[in-house]
Amino acid sequence: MSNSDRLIALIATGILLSAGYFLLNDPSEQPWTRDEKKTLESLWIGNLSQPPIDSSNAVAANVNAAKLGHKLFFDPRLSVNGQVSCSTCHQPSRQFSDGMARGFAIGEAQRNTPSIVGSAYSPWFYWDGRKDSLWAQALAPLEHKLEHGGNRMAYIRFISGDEVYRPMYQELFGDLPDVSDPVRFPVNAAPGDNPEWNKAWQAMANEDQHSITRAFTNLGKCIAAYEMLLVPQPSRFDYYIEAELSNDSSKQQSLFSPDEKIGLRLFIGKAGCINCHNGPLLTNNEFHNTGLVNSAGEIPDKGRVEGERLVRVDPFNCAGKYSDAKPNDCTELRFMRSGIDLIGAMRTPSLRNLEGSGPFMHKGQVEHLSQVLDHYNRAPEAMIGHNEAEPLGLNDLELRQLEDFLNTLSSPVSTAIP
Amino acid sequence: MILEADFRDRWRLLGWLPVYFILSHVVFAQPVAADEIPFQSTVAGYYEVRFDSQPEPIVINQIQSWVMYLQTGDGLCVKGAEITVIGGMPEHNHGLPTAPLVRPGANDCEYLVEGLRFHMAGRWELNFNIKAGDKTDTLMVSLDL
Repeated sequence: MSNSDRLIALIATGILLSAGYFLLNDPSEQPWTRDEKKTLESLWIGNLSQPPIDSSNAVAANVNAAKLGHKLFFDPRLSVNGQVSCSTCHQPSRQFSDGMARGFAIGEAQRNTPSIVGSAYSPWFYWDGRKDSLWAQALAPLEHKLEHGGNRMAYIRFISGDEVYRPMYQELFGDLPDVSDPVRFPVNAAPGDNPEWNKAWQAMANEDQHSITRAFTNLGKCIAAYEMLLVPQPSRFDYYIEAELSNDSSKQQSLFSPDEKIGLRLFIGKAGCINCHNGPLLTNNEFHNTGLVNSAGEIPDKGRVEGERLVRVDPFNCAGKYSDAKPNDCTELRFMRSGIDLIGAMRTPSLRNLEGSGPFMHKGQVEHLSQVLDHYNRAPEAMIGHNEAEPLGLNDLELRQLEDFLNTLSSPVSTAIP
Repeated sequence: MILEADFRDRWRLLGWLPVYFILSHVVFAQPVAADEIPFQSTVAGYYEVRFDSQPEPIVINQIQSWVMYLQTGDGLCVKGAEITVIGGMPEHNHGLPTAPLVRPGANDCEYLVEGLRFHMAGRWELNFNIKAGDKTDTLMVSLDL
């Protein structure tokens, strides 16, 4: 063999070795380790159990309550102007969100409208967790001046006079309050910031206030029974996990691109997204300050530190008289924590069905998913409180791969009424 | 000949290995009874503590209660202890997502640690402060979830 032949052989060997090295180290080609498989399985929708029992809502699993709640959810007559229903902001075609930075009904809301899909699994509601049940949450917009803008007295009067709703309600809860006496039961009355309605409410007898509020909370419990049925269906990611669990590599390759696989590996590894976005709904339903910049000209949002204060004094909380729970059932409320690390902390949202659900974050201050990832990659100082997150050090390609993976989590929503 | 017989016996013994393997899993792999889990000593050695978690194994994102068994180094039940617990994830520099409480349990020696929840996988530390009579001691429990 001549020297030139030796040189060619040496170069060829080098190329082969290099190719082998890159193939073996190509993250899209690497098989999942046993620990990684276990982690992936923990995110699989197949591991989503039945929703936890809401002991504060006796009709949470009642089919007839869900049927009534379904009708109420889509009925704009439950508003001061007859034009706003729950579905005005929680639109089925938009993953039960609205595609806007902030919700808009009677007026513009303070925060972004979160999707309510899978919310039956959360112990807390709203971005700051100021409600501890779906039914308590559902009642608040009905009386908020920027949302439905109505009052509980008018709602109960409407249900009492409706030929469809009245029998459905009575079958579940018995008789509605007899509101025929206009002296005892004014046309409009509710505690709150409407001076006229509040004055009328304060003039009512305590037992009449109680009976109206009891009936009002029953409406919330029916809406909650419907909302509990809204759960995500399997996404492409879930089918990929199923293929992994059955060792079907060819199916996996048809389901996930190399970039999506690398993105998934980043999600459960280097990027650390799984720390907070864990479990089959990809959320721990906890509160974290992640250093989000507020909208220009606005005072920074106090987040959970304020939500924790509000839920403790909420008359509709789990320990309140309108709850169906025994005091010891209210474990989340009993063992709720406080502390300065909750300043500016917001509830972790699910990452299922992000596609088309932007703008993102509690004020809708981030328009695109790529900007969300850029924010976490930089982990800037928080405006108030302390940003828990650390810079991730991901390059542009990795950020794109992470985004590619997140888009595999889109799926239809189950909205079936039994 | 003796050697050959010896080897044959050994091969016969090897033939029993699958049976031994199955039996060892059936007989010895039963769940360890709660009273067989060793007690941990507190830092100053005043107390010994053992826990039963519920659910077992511990899961994330689910509020849970543990039973805590408390005794002296001599194995005597400690009644009426005042116990507090704090904890968190040192690697993430954050605390527990809840404020758990400890109260006396159903039986002597038993205390109930209520309201525990872990919202991330990884290493958690729980620090118990135990005060009974004039003796105060601490215990750190480390969990890898």
